[in-house]
Amino acid sequence: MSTYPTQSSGQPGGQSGGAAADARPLWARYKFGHHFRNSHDEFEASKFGFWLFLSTEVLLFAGIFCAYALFRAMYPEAWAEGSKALDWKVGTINTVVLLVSSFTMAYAIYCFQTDKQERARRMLVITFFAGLTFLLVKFGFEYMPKWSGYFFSFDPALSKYTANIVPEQAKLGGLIQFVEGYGGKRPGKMFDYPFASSPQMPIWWAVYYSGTVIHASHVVIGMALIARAWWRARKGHYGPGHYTFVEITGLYWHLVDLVWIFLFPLLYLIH
Amino acid sequence: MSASVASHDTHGSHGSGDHGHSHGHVIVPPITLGTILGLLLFFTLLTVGVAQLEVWIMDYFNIVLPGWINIVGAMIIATVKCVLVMAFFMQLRYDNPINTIVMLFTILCVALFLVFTSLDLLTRDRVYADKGKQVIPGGSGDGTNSFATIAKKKYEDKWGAEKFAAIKSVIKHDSHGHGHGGHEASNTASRSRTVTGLTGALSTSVGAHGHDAKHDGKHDGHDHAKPEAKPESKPEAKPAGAH
Amino acid sequence: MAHDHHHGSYLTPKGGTLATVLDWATTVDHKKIGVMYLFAVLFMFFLGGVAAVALRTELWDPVRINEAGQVTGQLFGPADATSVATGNDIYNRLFTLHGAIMVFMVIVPSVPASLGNFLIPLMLGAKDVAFPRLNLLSWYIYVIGSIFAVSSIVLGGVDTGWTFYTPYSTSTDADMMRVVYMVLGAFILGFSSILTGLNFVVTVHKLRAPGMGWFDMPLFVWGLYATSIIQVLATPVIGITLLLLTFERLFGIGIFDPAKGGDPVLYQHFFWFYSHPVVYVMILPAMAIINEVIPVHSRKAIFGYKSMAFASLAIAAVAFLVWGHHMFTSMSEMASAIFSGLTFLVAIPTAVKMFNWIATLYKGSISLTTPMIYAVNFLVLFAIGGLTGLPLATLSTDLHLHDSYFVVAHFHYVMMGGTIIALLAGLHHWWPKMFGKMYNAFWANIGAIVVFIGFNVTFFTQFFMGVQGMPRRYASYVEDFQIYHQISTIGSYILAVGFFIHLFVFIHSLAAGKKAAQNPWGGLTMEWAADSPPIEHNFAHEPVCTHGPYDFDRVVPPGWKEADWPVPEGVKPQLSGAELTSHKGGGH
Repeated sequence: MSTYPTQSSGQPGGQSGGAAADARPLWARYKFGHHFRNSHDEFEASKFGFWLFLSTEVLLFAGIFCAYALFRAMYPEAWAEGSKALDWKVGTINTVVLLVSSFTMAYAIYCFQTDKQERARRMLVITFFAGLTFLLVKFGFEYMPKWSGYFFSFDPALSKYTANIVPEQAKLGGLIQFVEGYGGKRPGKMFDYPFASSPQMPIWWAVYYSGTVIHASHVVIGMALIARAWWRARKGHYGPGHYTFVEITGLYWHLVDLVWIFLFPLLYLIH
Repeated sequence: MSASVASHDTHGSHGSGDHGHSHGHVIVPPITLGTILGLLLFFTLLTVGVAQLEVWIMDYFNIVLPGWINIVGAMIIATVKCVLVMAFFMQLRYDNPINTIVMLFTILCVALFLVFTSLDLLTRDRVYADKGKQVIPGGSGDGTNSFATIAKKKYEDKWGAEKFAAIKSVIKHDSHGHGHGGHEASNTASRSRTVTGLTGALSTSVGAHGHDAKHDGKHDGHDHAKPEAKPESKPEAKPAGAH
Repeated sequence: MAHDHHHGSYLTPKGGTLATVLDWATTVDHKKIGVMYLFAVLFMFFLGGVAAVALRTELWDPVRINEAGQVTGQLFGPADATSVATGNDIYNRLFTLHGAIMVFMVIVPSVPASLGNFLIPLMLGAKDVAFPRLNLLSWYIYVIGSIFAVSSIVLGGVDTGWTFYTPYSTSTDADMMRVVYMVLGAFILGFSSILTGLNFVVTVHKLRAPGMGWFDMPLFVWGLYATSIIQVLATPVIGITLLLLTFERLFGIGIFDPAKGGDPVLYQHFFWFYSHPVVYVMILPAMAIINEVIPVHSRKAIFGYKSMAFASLAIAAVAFLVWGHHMFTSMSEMASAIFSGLTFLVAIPTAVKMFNWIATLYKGSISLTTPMIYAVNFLVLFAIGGLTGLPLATLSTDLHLHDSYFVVAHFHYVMMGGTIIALLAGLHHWWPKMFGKMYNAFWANIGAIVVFIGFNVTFFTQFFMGVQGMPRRYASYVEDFQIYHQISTIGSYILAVGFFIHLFVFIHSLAAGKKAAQNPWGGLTMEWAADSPPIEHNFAHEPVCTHGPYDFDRVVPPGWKEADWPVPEGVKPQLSGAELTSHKGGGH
């Protein structure tokens, strides 16, 4: 049973150590809030507070899951048909992307804890771009074709619809192709998909879009937090003694991952 | 894989005692993180595989597994993944237990929310037998047409019934295929899982030949474009509001 | 962040007017934020109160069209109206306005965000709440949310009722943006509530003074701790509900719209999963205030400290199990029966508290100060409100009483007779601490009595109306009910007079009040060891908890001399006030 190294953290607040002459990096000069007893208390309080915040996020998504469960019980046909309209391969890719980004986020925190600044920032960048990939895949291969019927020409799914492609409606010099009768899978009164078998399909799409759009907005917020962490990390704000913001950014990012871990099978795999 | 990570004194102050000294933060080594990532990816493939296996068994052996098997399986795997992420990536395993307590309370709340709301649903179909005369599931509000019917009618008006039937036949094959690559040719009609839910009276179908909107939702057996036959549909699963 | 102790009070202006305004606008001091919340909440209370008086005035006469085709008895709408529709619309908008403002902008934030913000760090001996900047953010979010909600009124109002039930909220009002503004306003206010709750939970866990264990905390803190847990766990559900409702209104996604295959009862489940627990967000802080006022003004330890603390937590727990009793007429029978049974559980911890308060009063050395008068008001009104809840929790009687004035009277007895009355008790109790000024006790007492009379005249009559079948939310009624409506309306005017008396008392106190002593009532909790008003970082030295919050029989309160507070023979006096701080504020 080996003990992993721990870092003593922060300086007690109120000891002004002549900041101008201080050559230590910013994180080592960090002073905790004057109303805390020590920096560990502050770190623990921040984490505890953020867990409470995460619990509010979980309950926010509980509403979506509840709507999913109830409408599934009410309209199983629409749910079977709806989930078949989603491509599990796209969902799997996005799941893997988010899982890997969760790992890089956790690894970034490890790097800050052990003062590997360069690698930590690189991990943050990778995490950020993983989030971006998630959004692009979501938008380009899921939202756009389903909503409008326009596919990117490099979308592998397009090969199945060669018979239905309408060349006159292609856009951006053929980069975006239009597939007749594919689009219109929209929520509620915007629903315009002619081939639905179940009249409750619009409700499925309402739950699908509400859930995934709210989740995607969390991805965007998470990316903004990561960008801020990266920006401040460049200036040396985070290191072994002080990395609270990176820690809670990580928690937030993992929560985004957790929600997707449940959304993925519910939407894509269960018929 | 991580039993070697010692849990340090991360307990909060609880407002008392001497806390003049600084505590350390727990550092989870990369090898643990990597192992967890590997496990997560494995479970992702597993849950996808289970879902595919179900389709495969259905297509090649014509054995219909009950729907709950996939649901329970997928949810168990998702829960395991969730626990892994929380315990290691989010460090609940090493943290002050108060954070775990917060999450457990949250999950309890979610459970209460789901259970009690579903509880209401369980016996609500008794009321729907009466309300069904007025409620049009998936209706557009004008009392006769659902959005699905309107979309179909709009399409047929624009492109004609032949084009509709032609594309519908493609979609019929594809509706499975797009979701489960490699099985486009499967006979979807052989899927005979009961998809009647708790409130079966609400489940209706949009007829494929619905030139006349009044036919919507009839389970007429001649409806060959309909992807799913439902031999086990309850007799009361008749369209409640189509008239 | 440096430890420069300002020995001036937190109210001392920093420079000129502009500098002072800027200082308050950017402050992270929990005391200033609490005071800013207090004034914002009181302003919204005024707005909601105006709407309430207008509603009661409209109900003086039933709306009728006489033989000449003229409309009589209508307060709103054009004078020469030949149609009652316009006036009724305005009535609908006004009661929505009254409900939405009073629930989302007044009662929910009232005690926790104003008194709670001010007092929790003081009572715990902390310098501030755990996250001071989040605290300021929550105030700004509150203001922004209120602006959203009020803007919907300026644009013409919303007529859905404060519950935003679908399909009212998805189909009424051609100008959908008004509903969206109101709903988004409530959504934003939810964030403010979450941040406040989260802050308090962490503060209670992490910032208690040395020596202060969980059961050394004042019961006010226990009550607000339970409140905060509910705020954190319930509010996000209203967030997703209102978000989906906004989507519904803007894009017609149909989740809650029966015409689109959605489920309006699901909306009600979503809504009440938040809004029932939030009833306890409203009442638990009120109970918390009474927990402090009664022992201090009876000079007697609270009866059953631990049972009080656990009762608060029990109420918070039960809060999540009973939301269905708002939906007895829309749910299935089985769920209704289960929820009805569970609802009675609430009565147990509530009654424990009630009996404990009465037991505390028994043989106490009661001084009938204004806070104490209000606390007694609370006991009477809350008992009536609580007991009339039982017929509403009973399935069979509720089917008769549902959506009648009986319900209106019941929840006004609980929400107003409970929370607002307790807020006034707390405000009079801690006013000297907050502003360092005393108020005119005589006029404050008169105000308290007038409010009590006005309240009962207004709402007690509504029980009779409700039992006889007068439905809520109607602009008109059959003539049989007129006498009750007129008594009720007169009561609402008396109530308004009572509140204006208090307003003048407070203004007079701020302008010309006598300087308050450090501890005018002889309280033992830590906020009384601070100056009146407290210095910027609350205490000159970190206080140490040396005694329980209600040890009146063995501790001389901070700021008092032993001669004025004789401790029984054989008990070693503990001059905690002198030990706690280097300051000895103006003692008696």
